[in-house]
Amino acid sequence: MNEPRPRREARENKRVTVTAPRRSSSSPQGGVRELAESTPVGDLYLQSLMRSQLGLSLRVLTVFVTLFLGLPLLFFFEPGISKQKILGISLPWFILGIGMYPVLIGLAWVYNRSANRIDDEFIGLLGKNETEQD
Amino acid sequence: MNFKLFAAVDLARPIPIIAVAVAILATIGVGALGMRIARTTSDFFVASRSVGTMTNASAICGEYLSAASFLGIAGLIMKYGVDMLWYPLGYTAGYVVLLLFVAAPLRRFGAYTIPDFAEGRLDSLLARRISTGLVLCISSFYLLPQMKGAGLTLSTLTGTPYWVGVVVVGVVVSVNVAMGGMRGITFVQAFQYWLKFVAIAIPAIILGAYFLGHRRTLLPAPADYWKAWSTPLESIGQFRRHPLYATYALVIASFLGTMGLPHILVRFYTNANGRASRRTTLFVIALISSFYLFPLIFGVLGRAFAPDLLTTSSTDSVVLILPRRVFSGLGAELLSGLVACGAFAAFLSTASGLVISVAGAISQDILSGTTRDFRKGAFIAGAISIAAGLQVRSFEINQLVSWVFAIAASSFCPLLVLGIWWRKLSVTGAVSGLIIGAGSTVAGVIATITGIVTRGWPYTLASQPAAWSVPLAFAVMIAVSLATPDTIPSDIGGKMLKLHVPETLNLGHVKHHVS
Repeated sequence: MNEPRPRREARENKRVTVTAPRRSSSSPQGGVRELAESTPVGDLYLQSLMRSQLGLSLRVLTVFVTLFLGLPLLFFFEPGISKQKILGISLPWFILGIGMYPVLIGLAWVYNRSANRIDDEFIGLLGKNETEQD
Repeated sequence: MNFKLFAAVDLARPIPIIAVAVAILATIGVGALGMRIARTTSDFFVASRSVGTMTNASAICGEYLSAASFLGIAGLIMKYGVDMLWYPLGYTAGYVVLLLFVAAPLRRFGAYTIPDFAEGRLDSLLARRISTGLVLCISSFYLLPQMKGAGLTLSTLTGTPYWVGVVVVGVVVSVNVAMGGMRGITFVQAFQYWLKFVAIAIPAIILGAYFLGHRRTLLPAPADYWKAWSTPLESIGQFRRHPLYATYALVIASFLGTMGLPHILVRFYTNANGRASRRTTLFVIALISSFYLFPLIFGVLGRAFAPDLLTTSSTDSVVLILPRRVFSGLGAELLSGLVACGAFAAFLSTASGLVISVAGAISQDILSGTTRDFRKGAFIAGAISIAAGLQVRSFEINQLVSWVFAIAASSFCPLLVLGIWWRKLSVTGAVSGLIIGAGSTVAGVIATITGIVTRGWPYTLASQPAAWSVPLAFAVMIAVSLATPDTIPSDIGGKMLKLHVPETLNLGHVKHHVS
């Protein structure tokens, strides 16, 4: 296990909580204020963020559901698939026992990257408005 | 091979007993380390959020991989074959669904438990009370197979009566939880994951290498049985009469039930922020995926080296028994000790997480929420689990576990998903969905246990309820919410803001203190 890294993260976390009240008291400008005060513009920002995140989740879920609902159907309608072999292992055994796990990890990794990017773009969008109005 | 000889020698071998003692002492020792640091109430509940991604991910896995994963899955694969591979796959995939819809928003919202979320999101004490009831129900139900596994393993390995294992695990877990709180437990759980991983990986690799070196055949059973075992969607005897439906019910329960397990969700609060929560989940998926390769090896090799277990129908013990079947002497004893140690780690870790959930629910919602109440709650939970654990000797471990997932999937899953993503969820809608979803699932379980339904489609539908009860719960929650818009909580915009806006913008993310 990597010990030093978690500690650094913990320290960063503490620093953020210390500065949090100060920032919010010096009334935030632009997009951030619109959000905080739930103005119609702020609501639009929030809705677009939620729509992008939900859209991403649903797209990944679709891949996922296709695989998991599709495989039993494939085995059901194509029983001959059991005779196929990969690395000497019967295909259904290989797919369910080994092959699907890297797919799950890959899907989770792609989702993480995209979800973090949506968050970053949202922060960037509000930050830009903030500097524009300053 | 002389199987009778091996069975007789079982009782005389001391190494597995020592290994179990080591697992218990190590658990207490690592817990004591954490106890020194745990001082205030918030330390006890959330480990002050100073836990790193890898530690936290290991802890989640340590808590998640239970008796069913360590012993049960290998036994199921050995007995029923390829269709059982959906179990570990579904248990892993559940975390992908959790990642997509719940991980980051729930952390951002600052809810520690599911009842906290229900109350904070819906401003409703009733929703909180019902959620607390469900947490107690799901956790207690999930404790039973752990206690059963403990009693069974200790009696198999050392010849003690069944109750000894139940009492040992109940006492160790409740004392450890009460003394160390969650801070202690986070380290204990992380340690337990790696212990379990080593304990199943090393024997599986050695046995697998031996098998490949000696080219044993996997085919001792009759040919038709062999075909049903190795081919997807073939029913074996009375088991799984409607294999396609059963597969879907299993997939849905494990996909959507994972997010509703109270002891797992609590761990996500320990992440620093929403982004860390996502990263932790990704690590969890990778760690669990690597673990589940090994029960598969045990299940397949069991057919080659211990085919007699098939006729005695005790394939659950295949992981414990296999080392002695293949090897003899000190090597066999060391490997047996290793798997015994891992099996005990599995019972201790899952039971710890569940006892924390029960203790938390009791201290927060029934008592006044102090550290003393949390300790009291831990002892109450331990006592209940011992008392109930003694009663479930005749129940099947994996059936109990799959019911727990079905109940969670048809109650907490719709509450979380709709609560996080849908503004129009009303209090009346959420409460009716929880009651009807959980109620209909429990009704199916009771109908199965009491023998009201015994065969045909009624039996299949009642014993594998998730495929209909989850859609039902979602439908009720949505329909009733649409019909009762007057009970939609106020300031829905503020709540959505808290759930979805990244923490770095410092909007409404007040540091959440549990007490």
